[in-house]
Amino acid sequence: MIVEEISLEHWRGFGQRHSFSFGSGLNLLAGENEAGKSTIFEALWRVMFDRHNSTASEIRDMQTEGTSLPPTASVVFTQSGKRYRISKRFINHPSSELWLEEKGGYRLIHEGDMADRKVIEIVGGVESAKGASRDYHRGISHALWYLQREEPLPGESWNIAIRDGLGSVIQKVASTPQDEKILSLIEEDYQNVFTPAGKLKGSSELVAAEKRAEEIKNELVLLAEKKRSLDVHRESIETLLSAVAELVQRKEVTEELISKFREEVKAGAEIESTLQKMGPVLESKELELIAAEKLLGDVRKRNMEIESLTKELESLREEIIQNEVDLRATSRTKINAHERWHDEAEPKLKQIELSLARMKAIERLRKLEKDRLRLRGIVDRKRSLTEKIVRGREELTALKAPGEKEWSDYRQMENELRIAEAEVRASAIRVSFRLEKSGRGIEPTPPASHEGNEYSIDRPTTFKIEGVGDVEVKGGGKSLEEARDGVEKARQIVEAVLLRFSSGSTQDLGVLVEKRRMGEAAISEVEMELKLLESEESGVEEELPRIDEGIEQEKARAGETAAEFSAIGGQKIREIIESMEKDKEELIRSIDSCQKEEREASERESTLLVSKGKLDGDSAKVHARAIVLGEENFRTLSQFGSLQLLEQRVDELRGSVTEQRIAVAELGKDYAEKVEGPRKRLSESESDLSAIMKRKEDIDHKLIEVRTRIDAAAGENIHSRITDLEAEANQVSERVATLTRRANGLRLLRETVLACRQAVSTEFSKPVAALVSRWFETVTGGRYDGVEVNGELLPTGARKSGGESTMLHRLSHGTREQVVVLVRLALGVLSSEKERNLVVLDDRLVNADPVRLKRLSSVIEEAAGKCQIVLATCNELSYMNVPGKLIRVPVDGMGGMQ
Amino acid sequence: MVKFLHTADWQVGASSTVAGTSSRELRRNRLKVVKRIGREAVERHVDFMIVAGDMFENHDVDDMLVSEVVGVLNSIAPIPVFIIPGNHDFSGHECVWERKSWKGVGGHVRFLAEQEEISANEATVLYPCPVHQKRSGLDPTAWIPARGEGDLRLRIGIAHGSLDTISDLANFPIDGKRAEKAALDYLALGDWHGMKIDGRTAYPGTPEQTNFGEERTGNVLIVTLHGGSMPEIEAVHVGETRWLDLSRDFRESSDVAQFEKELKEQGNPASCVFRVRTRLLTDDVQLIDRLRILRHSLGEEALFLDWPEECIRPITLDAQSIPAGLLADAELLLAAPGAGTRADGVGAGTREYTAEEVAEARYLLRDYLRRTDR
Repeated sequence: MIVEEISLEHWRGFGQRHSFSFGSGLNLLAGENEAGKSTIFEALWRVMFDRHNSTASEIRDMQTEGTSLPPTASVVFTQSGKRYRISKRFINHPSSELWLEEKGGYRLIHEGDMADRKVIEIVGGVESAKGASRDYHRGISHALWYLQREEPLPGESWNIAIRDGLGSVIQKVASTPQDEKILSLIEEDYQNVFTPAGKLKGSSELVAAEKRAEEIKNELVLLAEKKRSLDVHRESIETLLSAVAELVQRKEVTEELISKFREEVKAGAEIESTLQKMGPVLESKELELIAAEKLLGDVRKRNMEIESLTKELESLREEIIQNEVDLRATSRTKINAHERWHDEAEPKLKQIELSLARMKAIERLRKLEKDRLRLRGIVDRKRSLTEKIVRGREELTALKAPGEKEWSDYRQMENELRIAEAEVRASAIRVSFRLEKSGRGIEPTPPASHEGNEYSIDRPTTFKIEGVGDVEVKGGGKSLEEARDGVEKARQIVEAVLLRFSSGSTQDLGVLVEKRRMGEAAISEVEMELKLLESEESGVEEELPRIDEGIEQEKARAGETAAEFSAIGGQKIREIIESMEKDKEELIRSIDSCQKEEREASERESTLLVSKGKLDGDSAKVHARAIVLGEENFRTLSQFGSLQLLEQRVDELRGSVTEQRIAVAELGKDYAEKVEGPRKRLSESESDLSAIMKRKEDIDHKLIEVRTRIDAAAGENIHSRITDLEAEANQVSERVATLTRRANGLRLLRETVLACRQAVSTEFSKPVAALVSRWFETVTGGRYDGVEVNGELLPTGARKSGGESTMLHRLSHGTREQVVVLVRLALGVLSSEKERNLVVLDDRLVNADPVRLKRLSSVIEEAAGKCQIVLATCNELSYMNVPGKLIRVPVDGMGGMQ
Repeated sequence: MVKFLHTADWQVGASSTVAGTSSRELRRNRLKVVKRIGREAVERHVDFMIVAGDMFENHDVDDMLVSEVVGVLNSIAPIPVFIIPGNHDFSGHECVWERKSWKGVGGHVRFLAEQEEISANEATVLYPCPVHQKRSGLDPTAWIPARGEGDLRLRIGIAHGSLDTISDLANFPIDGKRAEKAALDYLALGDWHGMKIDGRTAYPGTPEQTNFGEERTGNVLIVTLHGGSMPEIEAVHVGETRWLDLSRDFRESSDVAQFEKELKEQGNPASCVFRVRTRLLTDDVQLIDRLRILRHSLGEEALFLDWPEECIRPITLDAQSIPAGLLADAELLLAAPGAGTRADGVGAGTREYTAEEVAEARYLLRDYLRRTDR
C-alpha cells in the first residue's frame, strides 16, 4: 500500500483543511518543530485503522483546541492496483466512508463500521477489540511505520502480516493461518498443563491425580499398618492361648504335688511329737551338767589361786627381812655424818670467821686514815684560792678603769670626732688675703686657723684687717654648721670620759684599761683552778666527818688486835686474811659434804620405812585372801564330800547328756527329712500354684484386651477400605500414566513445532539481515559489517568488522536508532517486491552525524527506488541531494502543498 | 424327600481392584445377592440351607458386612442353615466366626467346625468337612464314614475344595468318587466360582461374580433328594453384577452401530463392569467422534467402565493428511527414528521422551488438525 494524499481538518494544530499529496518514491515532509508533521501521520493511522465512532481518549485528544468541530481526515491510497479513498469524521457525528476509484471517479463502496473494517482488511491490519488502535494493529505497517512516541522495536515480534509481506521474496513459506491457530491451541493447552518454567502446573489434572495417588498411598500405608497390628494382635492371641494351655497343665501338676506333700506333712507330725517330749529331759540334764561343771571349775580355780598366794607370801617375807637390815645400816650412816659437821667442823669455822673480821677491820682502818689526810689537804687549798680571788677583786675596784664597753664607746666617739673635724676642715672656706701692704694684721672674729694668709673658716667670720676695715665672710651653709655641731658634741663626750677617769689623754685611759684587763685575767685563772678543784673533789667537807666516824668504828671492831698489828704492814695483813679465807672455805665444804651424806641417809631411811609398811600390808592381804579361798572351797565341796567326788559327778552327767543328745539328733535327722521337707515343698508348691493362677489371670485379662482391640479394628472396616483404595489406586495410576503421556506428548509436540518455526524464522531473517548488514556497513563506513537479525526479524546486535559482536542495547543511542531505521527500511524494500509499500520515518535520524546522515541519504535513496518513503524532518538540507518530493508543513497551520 | 438350598462362595467383603472407585458398589451388590438367596430359601420352602465355605472373603471383613449377613440369616429363621468354613474363612483362633458381630446369629444357624455327623432332620444326616487352614493337600472328605448297615437316612457331605480331577496341586483336593465311596446322596461342594454339577456332586459356583473371566456364576442350587434316586438340582439365578470384557475393531460407521446394538442388548449398564478394548482401523473423524460420545455415555451409565481413551484413536498415523509447511515439518521430525531422544536434537532439548510419548505427540498433532479443519 502506498499513500497518495492526506487531507485533514480540525485536527490538533490543523484548524483549517490541509491536503498533502505524496509521490511514490521519497517524500520529505519538512517543517519546523511542532509544525504538525506527526499530526499528519496520526491522521493517516487513525483514518486507516481506528473505528470512526471510537470514544477513546486518544481520539478525543485529536480535536483542535478551542473548537467543537469534529476532526476529519481522508486518505487516498492504492493497494493491489486499486485506488481508494477513506474519509472519517470522529467525535461529533462520526462517519466513515470508503470510496473506490473507478473510471476516473470515486464510488462509495462502504460506510460506517463496514468501511472501517474493509479498510483494515484491504491493508492487512487487525481490528482493535476496543479503544484506540495500537501499532500492532497496523498489519505490515507495524514494522514499516516508524512514528514518534512509539517504541523503536516491539517486545517480542512484529505483526504476523510482515511475514506474509515478505512471502514473495523468501522461498520458505510462512506459516498458514491454520498453523498459527494450531500453534496457539498447542500453546493454550501447554499453558494449561505447564508453567512458563516448564514445570507441571499445580492446577493441572495430572498434578491433581498425582496428588490423589500420593494420598491413597499414604492412606494405604496407614491402613496396612493397622492391618499389620491386627495381625500382630492375632498372633499374640495364639501365643497367649498357648501360654494359657501351658499354665493349665502346670496347674494340674502342681495341684497333684500339693496333695502328695500334704500326706507327707501328716506323717511327719508323729516324729515331731516324740521330739517335743525328749526335749525338756535333755534340757534339764544339760542344765545340771552346766551347774556341776561350773562348781568344779570354781573349786579348781580357787585351789590354783591359793597355791599362788602361798608362794607370794613367802617371797614377801624374805623382802621384809632384807629391808630391816638396810634400815639399820642407813641409820648409822646418818648419825655419823651429823656428828662430823655439827660437833667438829662448825665450831672451827666460827673461830676463823671472828679472826678474819678483825683483820679486815684493821685493813679498812688503815685505808680510812689515808683518805682523811688527803681530804684535809684539799680543803686547805680551796681556802687559799678563795682568799686570792677576793683580794684581786678589791684591787680592781680600787683601780677605777673604764669597762670594756665604755672603752669601746670612747674609742668610737673619738674616732667620730676625728672624722667630724676632718669634714669641718674640708668644708671650711679658705680665705686668702693678699694685701698690697703686707704686714697688716688680719684678725678674724671668731678666730680662724690659717696657714700664712690663708684662713680656713667654718662660720661667719669677720676679718678685721688692719687698716682696711672689716671683711665679713659668710658661707659654708647649713652642712658646715651641722658638721661643726657634730665636732662640738663629740668633743664634749670625749672630754667628759677623760674627765670621769681622771685621764689626761686617750693614752692614759688606755693604760688604765690595760691594767684592769690584767687584774681580771689573774682572778679568772684562780677561779678556774678553784672551780676545777670543786668539781673534782666535791663533797670533801661532808666526807671528812664520815671518815672520822668510820675510823672510830673500825677501831672498835679491831679491838686490841689493832694494837697488836699496828707494826705489821698492809701486805702482810692481806696475806693473813687470804690464808684465813682459804681455811674458812675448806671448812664450809667439809660441812656441806657431811650434811649431804646425812640428808641422803635420811631419805633412804624413810624410803625403807615406807616399803617396810607396804610389805607388811601386802603380806597381811595375801594371807587373808588365801584364808577366804580356802573357806569357800570348803563350803562348796561340803555338798559333794570331796573334790574327787565332785569330779565323778561331773563325769557322770556328761555321759548322760551325750547319750540324750545322740538320741535327739537321730530323731532330728528324720524330722528334717520327714517333717520339714514335706512342709517346705508343700509351701513352695502352694506359692507356685498361686503364681500360676495369678499369671493365668493376667493372661486372661490380656486376652480380653487383645480381643477387644481386634474387635475394635474389625469395626474400622480396614479390609474394605484397603481394597477400595487399592482399586482406586489402580485407576488413578492408570490415569496418571495417561495424563503423563499426554502432557509429555504435548510438550514434545510444542518443542518440535517451535523448533520448526524457529527454522522457518531463520530462513526468513536471512535476506533482511543481508540487506540491513550491507546498508549498515555503508552507513558506518565499514566500522561494522553486519547486523544480526533473529527469527522474529528483530535486530539483536551488530558485528564489527573483524568479527566481534555487540548486543543491540550496547550500541549508542544514535547508532541503535540507525539500525532500527535500516531494519524498517529493509522490511519495506523486501515487502515491496510485488507492490510498493509505504515506509514512514517520523523524524527518526536526528541523532545521526552529518557524515552518517549523508551515507543514510544514499541508503534512503536506494530504498526509495523500491518503496514509498515519507520522511519527516526539521532539516530538509540534509537530504537536498536525494531525489524526491519536498512537502512543506506550514508553521501556522496555513501552509499547503508544494 | 428333602429339599434344600445349596450355595457357597459368597465371598462377602470381596471387592475387585480392577473396578476402581466402583469397588464399594460391588460390595453392596454382593449383599443384595445374599438377601436374594435368603428370599429364595424362604419362597421355595426349603428344609434347610447349606453354605459350603467361603461365606466371607477373609477374616478381616468389615463388622458391618458380618452384621448384614447375620441379619439376612436371622431373617430366614427358622429354616436351618448349615455352614462350613472354607479356605477364605477357615476356622481358627480369632477367625471371622469368633467375631462379636457373628455371635448375634440365631440358633437355627449352625457353624460346623468339626468333622462329625450332624442330623439335619430325622431322615437326613450331614457330614461337614470344615477347613481349618488356608491351604492343604489333604482331602477334607476322607473322614466321611461309609453308610452303616441298614442306615436309610439321606447322607449329605459338605466340603470346600477342588475335585482332584483337575490337578495334583489342587488345594484341598476332593476325591471325585467321594459320593460313591461314602455312599453319599449328595456332596455339596464349594470353592469353584463356576457352577458345576456332576451326578451327586455339585458346585453351585459363586452367586455373585468376583472378577472378569469367571463363567457360569450368579446361581444357587435348589436340591431335592429322594432316597436312592439321583438328586433333582435346579439352578436359580440370583447374581447382580455382570462383568463384560469386550474387544472390537472399527473400520466403518456400521461397526459402531453394531457395537451400540450389542451394548444395548446387555441390558442395564448400571449393573455391569465393562472392560472395553477397541481398535480403530480408520481415521474417519466422524466415526471417532461417535465412539467418543459412546464411550462418554457408557462411562456415565455403567457401574464401571475401563475403556482407555487411547483405544479411540486410529491405530495408524497417516502422514499425508498433514498439509505441507510448519506442521508437516514437525511430523517429519516426530516420525523420524529416534524422535524425542537426545540424539534427535530437535524437540528433545530438555528431556528424553518414550516411544509412547512420541506417538502421543503425533496423535495430538493430528487431533489439532482435525479440530481446526472444521
